[in-house]
Amino acid sequence: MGTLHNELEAEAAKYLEEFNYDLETLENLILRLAHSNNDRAKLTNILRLAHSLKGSAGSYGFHLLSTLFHRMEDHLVVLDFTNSSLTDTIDTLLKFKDDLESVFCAYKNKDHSLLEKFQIKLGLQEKQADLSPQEDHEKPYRILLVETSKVIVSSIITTLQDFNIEISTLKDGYEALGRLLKEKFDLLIIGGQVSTIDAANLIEILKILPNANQDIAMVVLSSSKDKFSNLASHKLHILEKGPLLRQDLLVLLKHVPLKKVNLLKEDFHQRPLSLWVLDDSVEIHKLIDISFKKFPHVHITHFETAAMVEEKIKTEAPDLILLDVQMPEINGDELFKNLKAKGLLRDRKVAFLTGTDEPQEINKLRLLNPFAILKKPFSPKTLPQELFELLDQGEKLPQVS
Amino acid sequence: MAAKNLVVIDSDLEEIVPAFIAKRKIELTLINDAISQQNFDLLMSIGHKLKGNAGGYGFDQLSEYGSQLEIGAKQKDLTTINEAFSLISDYLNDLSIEYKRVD
Repeated sequence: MGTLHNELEAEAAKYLEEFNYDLETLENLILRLAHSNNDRAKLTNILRLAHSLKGSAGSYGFHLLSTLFHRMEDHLVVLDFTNSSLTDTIDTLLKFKDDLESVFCAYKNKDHSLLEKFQIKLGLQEKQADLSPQEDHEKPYRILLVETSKVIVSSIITTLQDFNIEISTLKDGYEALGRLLKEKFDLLIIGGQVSTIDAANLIEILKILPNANQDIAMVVLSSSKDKFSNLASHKLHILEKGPLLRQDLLVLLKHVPLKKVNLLKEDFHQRPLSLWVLDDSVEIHKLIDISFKKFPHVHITHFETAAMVEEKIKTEAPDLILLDVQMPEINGDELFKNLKAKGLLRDRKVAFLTGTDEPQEINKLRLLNPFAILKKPFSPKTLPQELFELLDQGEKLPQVS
Repeated sequence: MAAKNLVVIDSDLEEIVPAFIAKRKIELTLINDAISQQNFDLLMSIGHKLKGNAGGYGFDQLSEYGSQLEIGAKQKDLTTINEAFSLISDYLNDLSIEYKRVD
């Protein structure tokens, strides 16, 4: 037994000796990217090397190295969906390489304190006492995205690419469970019907098994909100897969505890705001008045016909116009097109308020590139917050080309 | 005696809910007349509004019935329309509201 242990230790030491060459190879591959003219094949080479080194580091018991390679792989997969510049890509990959080098040295010198710091930094250890506020702030917000549809994955990644977020993508519930049992994530976004272990079962398993993610915020993506409505809670949100997913996700990200992602200004929560509401139902006007009762900085002007808006917009400039879609005579979307055609909209923001559930109808509205599409019925409790957040995020809202 | 349909509503809405419900009760006659005249456009419009407005006032079930009325009218399906009408009517007649502060 003792001999076997010694042999394994000797093998591990040999592995560490050779690891230096692996790091050199990795660095060379990364630096060569600079002359690659954004050649995807070069990225694939790095991905392959990271994948192979991840396996060998893990099998020799160097789990921190293995985890770092895994994160590097995650990053390379996500890169496929984004339009990151080559400089940013090289920069990030070199940072991974630097971390790998530090961890390698820590293993070699048996520097347990540095190894522990990396354990915490990578979310493999809960205790955070040793992290300085600066180090804690630099820890990226980690999302595990489990979804089979490439379109949905791409849509989510591109929506989140401007935030300081680290995304790991997987297609399968079983693999996701493996990662969740080992590493700490801040948010789990999971397709309702992913294979092997579906969202509902994975959530149940996470509650039972000891792991660092028992308190994790979750988003279940579903083709129908009702399917998972029984799971919904303050920590678990259900988002519908569909044309509004990106918008809904941006709104939701303001509600989950995203301290490190809060990069956006929040001045619309206080700044005077002129809001116009066009709806043929007086009950909606009353509900909107009640919704904004606690926000005296919001000045609301009500309109019951499209003609009234068309006249007033010639002389006044609101910050935001809420347009009901289905109305007698002129619909909200028709008015929007008219105002645009006449050059009366300029940079005024228009959001549609619609009661339709038809994806085709929502898609039609989306193609008009409004500022946002809000669904009826809306909650008077959450409407103001939702609007302020959309206004804060303003330019970040996805546009259809 | 039939059990009351108790709905808890945020007290912030207390000043606008009674008028909303009163209007819905008056609307029952309008729906009934529209059914007799097979005025599907009007039924669709009433259903659509009910679906979009009732939920915001805290009456989610009524919103569902509105959706059913809208779908029935779209399909010109009198069975669905009549069923939705009786559900709306029963809901409003049995309704009892309790206002509570919701944070």
